[in-house]
Amino acid sequence: MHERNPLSKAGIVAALSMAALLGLSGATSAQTATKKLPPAVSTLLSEAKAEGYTANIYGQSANPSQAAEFSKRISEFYGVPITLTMFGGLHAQKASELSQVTKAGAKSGIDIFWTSSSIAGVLERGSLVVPLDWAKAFDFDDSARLGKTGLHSHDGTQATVIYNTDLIKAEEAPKTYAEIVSNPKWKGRIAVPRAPNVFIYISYALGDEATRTLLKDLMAKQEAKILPTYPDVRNRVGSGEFAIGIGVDATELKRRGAPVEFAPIDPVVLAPWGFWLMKDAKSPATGQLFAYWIRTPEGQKALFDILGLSLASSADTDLAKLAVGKKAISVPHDFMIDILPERLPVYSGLMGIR
Amino acid sequence: MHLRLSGIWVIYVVAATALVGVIVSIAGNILASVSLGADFGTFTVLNYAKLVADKELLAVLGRTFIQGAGSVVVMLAFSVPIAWLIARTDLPWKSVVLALLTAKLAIPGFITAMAYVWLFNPTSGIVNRLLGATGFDATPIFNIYGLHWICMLQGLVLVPACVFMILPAFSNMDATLEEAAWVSGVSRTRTARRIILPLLAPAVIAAMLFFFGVAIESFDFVGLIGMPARIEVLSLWIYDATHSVTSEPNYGFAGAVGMVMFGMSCIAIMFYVRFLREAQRYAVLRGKARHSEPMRLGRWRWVAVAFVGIWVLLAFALPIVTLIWVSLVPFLQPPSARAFNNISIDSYGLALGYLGAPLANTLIAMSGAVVLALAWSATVSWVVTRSRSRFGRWVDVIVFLSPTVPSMVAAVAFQMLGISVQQWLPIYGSVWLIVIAMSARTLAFCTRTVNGAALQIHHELDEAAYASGVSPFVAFRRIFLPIVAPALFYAAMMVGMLTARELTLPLMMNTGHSPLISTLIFDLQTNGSFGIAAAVSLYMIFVLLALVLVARRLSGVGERSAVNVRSVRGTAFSKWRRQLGRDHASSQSTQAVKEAL
Repeated sequence: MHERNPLSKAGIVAALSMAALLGLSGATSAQTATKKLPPAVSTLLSEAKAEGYTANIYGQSANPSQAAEFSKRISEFYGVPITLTMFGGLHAQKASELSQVTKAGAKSGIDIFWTSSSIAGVLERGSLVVPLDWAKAFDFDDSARLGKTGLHSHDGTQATVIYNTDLIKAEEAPKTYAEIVSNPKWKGRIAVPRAPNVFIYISYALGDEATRTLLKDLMAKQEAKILPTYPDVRNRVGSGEFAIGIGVDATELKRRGAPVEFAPIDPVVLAPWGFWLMKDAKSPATGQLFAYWIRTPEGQKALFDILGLSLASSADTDLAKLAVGKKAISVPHDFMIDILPERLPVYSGLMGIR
Repeated sequence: MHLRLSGIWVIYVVAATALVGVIVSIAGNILASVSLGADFGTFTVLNYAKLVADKELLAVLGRTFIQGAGSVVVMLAFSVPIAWLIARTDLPWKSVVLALLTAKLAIPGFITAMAYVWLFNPTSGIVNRLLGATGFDATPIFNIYGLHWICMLQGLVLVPACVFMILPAFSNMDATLEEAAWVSGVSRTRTARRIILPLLAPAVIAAMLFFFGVAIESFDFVGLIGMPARIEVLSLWIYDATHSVTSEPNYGFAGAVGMVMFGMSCIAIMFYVRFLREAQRYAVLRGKARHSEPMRLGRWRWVAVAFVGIWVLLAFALPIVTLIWVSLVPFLQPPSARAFNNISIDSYGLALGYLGAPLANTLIAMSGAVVLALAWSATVSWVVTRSRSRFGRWVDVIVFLSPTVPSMVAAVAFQMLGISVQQWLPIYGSVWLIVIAMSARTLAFCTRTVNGAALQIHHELDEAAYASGVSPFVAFRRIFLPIVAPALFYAAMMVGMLTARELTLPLMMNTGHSPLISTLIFDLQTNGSFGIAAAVSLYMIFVLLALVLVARRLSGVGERSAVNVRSVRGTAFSKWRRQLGRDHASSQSTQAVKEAL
């Protein structure tokens, strides 16, 4: 007859787990207490309890492990168990769909829409987002503000350039956008995503005329290959099919051991991304807590560790290193909203996109 | 009488709901084509004006026609012989071939494209590298970036679906006709040309026309191979219009391009309808059927195996090896000494941890779509092939047109449907909307498959049943359904596989709470976890294959159902003979051969 041993392995594990949990909750409560959270955030923390500490974040694809890691780190930060659901998709189509959904009185199912300025423009035009002054509410400086309703989360790499280190030596890597189109060796070896916004971001730094010339040369002289998506460009540079990729980052692939590196292009053009709070958010408080946390050093570290993304001003990140000794230019939100409709058809035409 | 009426109305009501599903996407496309951008309330003709004014239009139409026709030629070159070998001969390892055809359906098209890009791209392709034709100054020997490669690869990928579509018709063909011809001294080649091919014409032509529409709407190969080479076809224009990354998608222009595809399909349908008018010429399932032994291939056996092997190598082995390779390496890379040093099976463990909810949701979506698609396709096929009403022909035409609706536009149309009925039926954002959308999107394939088999049933059988006092509903249940059961089985397999693979609809309708395997794979690929995505795909292929094998064993398609069909035909015919007291079937086969020759 097998008697249940009061000191069985399962029992020991359960006891240790309970002790660890109590210890962790004590430690995190103490951490939270020592953190000086703005009053608005403290209020949100109590409101988030009623929401079950869950939030639905749309915009960045995260696999289940990554989503769990985000949930773990934010829970540690606030000392309460927050569960994040993170999913990505086609931003422009989603924004357009949500306009129809809202008109019909249905719910978007999204708390925070995490995207770039141009897509946020669609959300703003459709009155889908809360006109929240995040910087004021959370005591952030003005750089945290993205347009009138967004919170700057990280700097996107839609204008950065990567190269395959097996095919191009570090000293030969392009240092300006003009160099990309001047080296005949790279003819047919440059990949670009089918996204003209890449060049709209670049045009903020180079000017319209110079960017048009760059695009024309890329397409005609260098016979650049246009690929369907950003990951296609990144991966096909990593696999060695292309030597140079425009509009993508190297961080994730480098971590996996791929022979890729950021090209030291000067200036470093940064495409700001941000958070927008949906008007029909089911968990607005938890969503805002997530947004606030991402702006903190702890949140930035988590963002970089988990997804390879960060603000260029966040220390020890790839973007921060890339910007050292170079001019870093952040493309203003309003520029993308105002200039995009005018330049989009022109640049699309130059790329052969209808 | 009252009961008979209610029975038959069940068929019509179910068929009508199917028609609503199809009309949603077609109406969505028409509405989109006259709407401004993504604003469905603002009407305009600008989309058509822009389309007609495009000086590239004619060239693009020409290339699209080549893309469609070329893909169909390659597809038929493999699928007709493979279907014939499976259905009519003693080809060895038929079960393995059927399993491979099924498994192929579960492999995403982009994996096949990627495998070939790695092999034959001009700058770093493995074959070019082996031939010393890569490097900055080298001239490549192979260059994947051409329209002919798109046609070839797309054709190879369409083979399983085509085989499943025409296989029921091949299996149902009355072997007595072939045997009568051979007994009469007609050569096998002439028999094939004058008897077998004409008898199979409705099924093959339906498949040809259907897959032409599928091929010109397909984007996997156009995206990965055509786009870098700047090969513009209509599906690329639709992609451009619907996949804007910066502003609202231009569904209006996509809808207008979709209407051009409609036009191309309408021309194809005109031919098909002409065939339908003469459908009874091809009806071979009369009252009396004879069992026949499969044709012995003899020394041609190994030639046949080699032929099937070529398709397996090109369309299955290369992509599956690629998928396995991708699952083992940390990032996408062609095989090399360095890559072999970094091989790991970690992705499989991680993938296993991610499968839970997405797999459960996918299986729910698949089951729902299969049930609904089968109910819809059986009833629609009956209305089209057995009801003898003009309405039936129109239903068929409408269903036939539906695959040409661009998938993104169709997704938007179904979203609108979901939003509109949300108040009464909360399906927006749930898997049930995906179930309805997938059933409607695959209805054309299902009805083509079932119609192919149903058209072979001679009206004698219905007449025999009605003369015996059997109601139309009972005849539908007891005669029609058992005879088309193998076709329904293949249709179910296709619907299940396509639902498992479908990305556009789930991605558009994703609210984060009902992830499917396809959206999981999308998320994994987007953040660079290709290894885990490949492992998830392989697990999925394994699960789907197991499901199909279990379903085949349970349904007995290819074995037991063939016996059932013969038994059903025999029963109905005996009743008819007893009723009318005459027998005029004895010389039918010989007569049919004489007519054909």
